[in-house]
Amino acid sequence: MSAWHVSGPMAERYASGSAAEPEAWSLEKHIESCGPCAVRVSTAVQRSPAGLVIAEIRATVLAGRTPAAAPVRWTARMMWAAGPAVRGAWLLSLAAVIGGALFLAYGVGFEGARPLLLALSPAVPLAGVALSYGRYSDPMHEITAATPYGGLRLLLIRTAAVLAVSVPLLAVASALLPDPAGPPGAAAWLLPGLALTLAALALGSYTGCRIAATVLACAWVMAVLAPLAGPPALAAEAARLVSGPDAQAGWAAAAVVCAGLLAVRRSSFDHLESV
Amino acid sequence: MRPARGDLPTGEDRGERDDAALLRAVARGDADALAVLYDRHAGWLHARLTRRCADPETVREVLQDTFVTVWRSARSHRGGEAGGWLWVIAARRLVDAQRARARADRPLREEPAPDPAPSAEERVLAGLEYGEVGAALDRISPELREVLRATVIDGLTTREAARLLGIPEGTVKTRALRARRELRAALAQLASDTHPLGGMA
Amino acid sequence: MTTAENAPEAVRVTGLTVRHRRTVALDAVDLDFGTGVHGLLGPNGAGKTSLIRVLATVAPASGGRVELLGHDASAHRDRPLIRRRLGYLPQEFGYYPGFTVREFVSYMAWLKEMPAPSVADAVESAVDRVGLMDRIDAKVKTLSGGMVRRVGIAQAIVNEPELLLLDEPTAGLDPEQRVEFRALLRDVGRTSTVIVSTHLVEDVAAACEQVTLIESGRVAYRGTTAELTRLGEASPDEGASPIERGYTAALRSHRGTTTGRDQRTRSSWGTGAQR
Repeated sequence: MSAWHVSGPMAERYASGSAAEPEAWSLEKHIESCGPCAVRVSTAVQRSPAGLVIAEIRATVLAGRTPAAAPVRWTARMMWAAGPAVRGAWLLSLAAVIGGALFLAYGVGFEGARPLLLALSPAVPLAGVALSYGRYSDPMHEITAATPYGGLRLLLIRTAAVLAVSVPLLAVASALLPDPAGPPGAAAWLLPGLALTLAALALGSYTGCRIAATVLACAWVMAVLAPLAGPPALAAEAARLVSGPDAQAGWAAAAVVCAGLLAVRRSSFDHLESV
Repeated sequence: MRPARGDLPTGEDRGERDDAALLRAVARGDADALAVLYDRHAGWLHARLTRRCADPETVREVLQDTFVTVWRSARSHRGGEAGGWLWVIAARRLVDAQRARARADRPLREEPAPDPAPSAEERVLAGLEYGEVGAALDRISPELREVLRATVIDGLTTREAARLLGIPEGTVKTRALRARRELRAALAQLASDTHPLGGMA
Repeated sequence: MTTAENAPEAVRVTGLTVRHRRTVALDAVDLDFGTGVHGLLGPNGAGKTSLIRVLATVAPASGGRVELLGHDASAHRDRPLIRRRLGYLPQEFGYYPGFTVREFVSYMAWLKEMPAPSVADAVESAVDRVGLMDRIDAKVKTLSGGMVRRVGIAQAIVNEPELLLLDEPTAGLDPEQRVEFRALLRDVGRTSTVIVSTHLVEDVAAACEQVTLIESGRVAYRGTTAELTRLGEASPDEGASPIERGYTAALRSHRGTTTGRDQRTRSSWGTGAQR
C-alpha cells in the first residue's frame, strides 16, 4: 500500500464532478483497493445532491431482495424431467383437445363428444412422446445424449411425465362429458393409450420416436375413423376397439410385448442418428 | 451483527467488518451486511458511473442492477479487493446498458488477436498516483483519454469499450495505440524536463 | 473427484471407422490421448466432428474399437460410467427458452448424475470460471453468441470431467475471451484429458501441447505443438507463422502420400491457415 490517500477536498471535488481527469483516475484506481478512502468518497457523494437518488436505490435494492444462490427448487427439477413436450405446443394441443370436447358437448350439444374424446385420447400421449426426445424435437439433444441420463432413461422419464400430465386431465375431461350410456367406459382408453405409447417407444428404437409416434397415431386415428359415418358409428367403432374384456386383454398383451421389445432394444437409444 | 441503517458510515469507523467479511455475510443472505456494503460503495460507484454516462436514469439502473447482482452472486467473490470487484460488475452492467440502448446488433465477428501483454504504460497507469503521469495525461486529447480510461482504468475489453463509448472497435484500437504513443512521448518529455538524466517512474 | 486412472490413456481408439451413409468420415483411425490438452486440427469436413462425437458416445462407430476412461464405449452397461466423467461441448447446441444460465448448467449437472448437495456450488464455480458470474440469473436467450458459447463451456466442465471434448469452442469468442479460454483449457488439462477440435491454428499454438492433424478421415500428422512449429520453420512458405506453415507442410506431405483421395476437401479448407 502506498502512503497516497484521498484527501477531503479531493473527495469533495470528485463527488461534485469537478475533479480533473488525471486526479479522478488516480482516485478511482485507488479506492478500488482502499476501503477507508472508498468510504470517504462515498460519504462525500451521499452528501451531494446525488445522495437522494442513492438513498432511493438503496431502499429498492434492500426491499426487492432475492435469496443468495437459491438452491434448485423441486418444481424446476420437475420441469427438467418433463423435457420439451410438457412445456410447449403439446400442452397447448392437449388443452385444445379437452377444451374442444367440452365445447362440443356443452356449447353445441354434440352427443358424440365423449366417444370422440375417447377416440382421440390415445393419440395425445403419442404426440407427447414424439415431441419429447430426439434430435429434431429436443433442442438440447446433442448435449443431453452425452450424459448418463441420455438415451432410454431420459426418454422414459419424459414419457412418464407426458403420461402423468395427460392421463389425469383426459380422465377428468371424459368424466365431465355427458355419458351417452353404454360402452365404452370412460377409462377404456387407458390400456390402448399405454400400449400405443410403449409401441411408439419400441418402434422408435428403430426409426426414432418422432416417426414411430406419428405412424402409430395416424394408424390409430384411421382405425377409429375409417368406417366413419357420424357420431353413433364413431362410438361403435371406438367401442369395438377398446371395450370388452377381450379387447382390453389384447391391449394389455400388446403393452407387455412392446415393453419387452423395448427392454431388448434399450441400447439403441444411445445413438439414434436419424431421430 | 450491527444495524447500519440510516447512519452514514465514516472513514474512521473502527471495528467494522471488512468488505470481504461483509461479502461473505451477504452470500449467506445477510441483508444488513448488504446495507453496510451499499453505504460504503454506492456513493463512489454512482459518481464514477456518472462520469462515464451522461444519462442519470441509466446510471440509476446500472447502480441498482449492480447491487442486485452483488446480492445474488456474492458467493462467487474469491477474495481480492471488494471495490475492484464491484467496479467490474458495474462496468459490465454499464456496457450492457449502453448496448441495449444502441441495439444495432450486428453478428459477432472474428478479429485478429491483439497483444495481450500489459505494456509499460499500462503498468504505470495502473499505479496512477505516482508522479508525472497525471501531468502527462493532461497533455493528450480528451477522446484519447476517454479510450485510455475505458481500457486501462476501467479494465474493459476493446469491444466493451467500443460499446461504452459508441465508437467502432477499430477506432478504439487505433486511439488506444495513439494514446499510448502520445502518453509515452509526454512522459518522456516530462522526464527530460524534470530529471534530465533519470528514467521515469 | 478426479482420480488418476490406472490406465494411462483416457482415450484409446483402434481401427475406428465412421461412415455416414455412403461417405467415409473416419477411415481406420488409430489414436490415443492422455492427460493434457490435445489439438485436433484439420480442414472443414476432415472428420474432426465425427471423431469428437464418437468419443462423446453420441455417435456410434461403424467399425473398430473405442476405449474411453478404461471402459469399452460400445458396451451399453459401461456407458453411464464413461458419461459421468465426460464433458462435451458440441459445435452447436440448443437450450430451452425459459432457462437461466444457472438453470441450464444445473440441469446438465443433474443429467450428469452429480450428487445433489454439490450441484449448487459446482454450477457457480463453473459459471465463474467462464466469467459469467454476473449473468448467472439472466435468461440464456438474452445473452450474446459468445456468452452462450461460454455457457456451453460451463456445462461441459461442471462435473470436472476427466475427459473434456470441445468442438470448435472458440467460435464466437472475442480475442480477449479466447485468451482467457485457453488459460482455462491449460488449467483443466493439468489433471484431465482435453481434446479440442478447431480450425484455428492459433488456438492450438496457444493452448495445446499435442497436435493431431486429420485430413479426409485419416490421421495426417501427430506430434507436439513445438514439433509442428519446427516443421513449419523448415518450410518455405512466406507470410504465415511457423506453426501455420507447419500445418500446411504436414497436410501437403500427407496429401502427397495419399494421392487420388477425395479432392473436394482441398477447396473447403483453409480458414485456419490464413492468419
